[in-house]
Amino acid sequence: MKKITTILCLLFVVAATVSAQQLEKLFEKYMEDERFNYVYQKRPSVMDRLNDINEVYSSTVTIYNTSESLGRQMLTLNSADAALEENFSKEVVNALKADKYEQVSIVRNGKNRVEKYEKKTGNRLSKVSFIKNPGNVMVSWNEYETKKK
Amino acid sequence: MENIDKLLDKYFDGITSDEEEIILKEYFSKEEISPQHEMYKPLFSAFESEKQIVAPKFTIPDELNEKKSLPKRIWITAASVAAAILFIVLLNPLSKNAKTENNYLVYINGKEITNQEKAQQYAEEMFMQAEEIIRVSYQPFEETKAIKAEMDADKIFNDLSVEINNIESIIQ
Repeated sequence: MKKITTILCLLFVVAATVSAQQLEKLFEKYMEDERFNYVYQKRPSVMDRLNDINEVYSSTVTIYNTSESLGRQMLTLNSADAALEENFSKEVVNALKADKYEQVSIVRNGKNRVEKYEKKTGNRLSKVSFIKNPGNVMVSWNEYETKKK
Repeated sequence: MENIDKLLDKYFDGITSDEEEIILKEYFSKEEISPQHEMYKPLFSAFESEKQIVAPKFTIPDELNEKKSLPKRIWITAASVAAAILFIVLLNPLSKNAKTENNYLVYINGKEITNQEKAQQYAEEMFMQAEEIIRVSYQPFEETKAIKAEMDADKIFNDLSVEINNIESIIQ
């Protein structure tokens, strides 16, 4: 009985963890796809961080004294295939929903559409920018470790 | 009867044989014995009950047996460690990239840019491109926010009332 309980607990933990990382799965699925470009930066430079700090301070989450970037990555689809664009966009939205991201803003400017999403887990803040242009879809994912004031 | 007395004397001297002790025990196990021997009956009945005490058979319950089974314990420990590692690895959203020692990981159309300098150039250019799109898209929104911040209703009303007072004083 104890063994069954232990195994069930482990399975539950693994299942919960796996189901909570759909966005990561999406990045891993397409990062090496020839239709996509993928970039990952482990430690953004000081200049890059200035923009990040402003972003964190203006976010909907409580103001933080400081934050440390845990890295950022971006997936870009350059395709004239409208069906592929649409399918990929749906996958992104579904992954964000599955990972329980909160949509914080949508901006349309001409044919550009930018959606921003956030998720806070413990002291970790995840920010996703979903950019849709004609013939171009970008998903930018930034991770921060925040320290409360 | 005399024989019993002699046997009792030998018993208390500790020199009785096994056979003689059996005779004594059989005698004292009877319901009716000589009144002079009644006082010894509890002693021999105690010996009899002592004889009946059997060491309890110690059996290890199956559940405890399993705990002591080394291979199973190792299996459970290994499973727990594996699950913990899996949990940590999966919990880290950038786990795959954390494995890379390099600061940059870039794939252009499915091909990895192994040169770190070039990878950095690509990465910075692509992040900058995205940031520029976001900046341009949010520009009207930011401008509206700035205008709102400048539009302090109290200040506007105060200025107006000062103007009105000035006009009134001139008229009078």
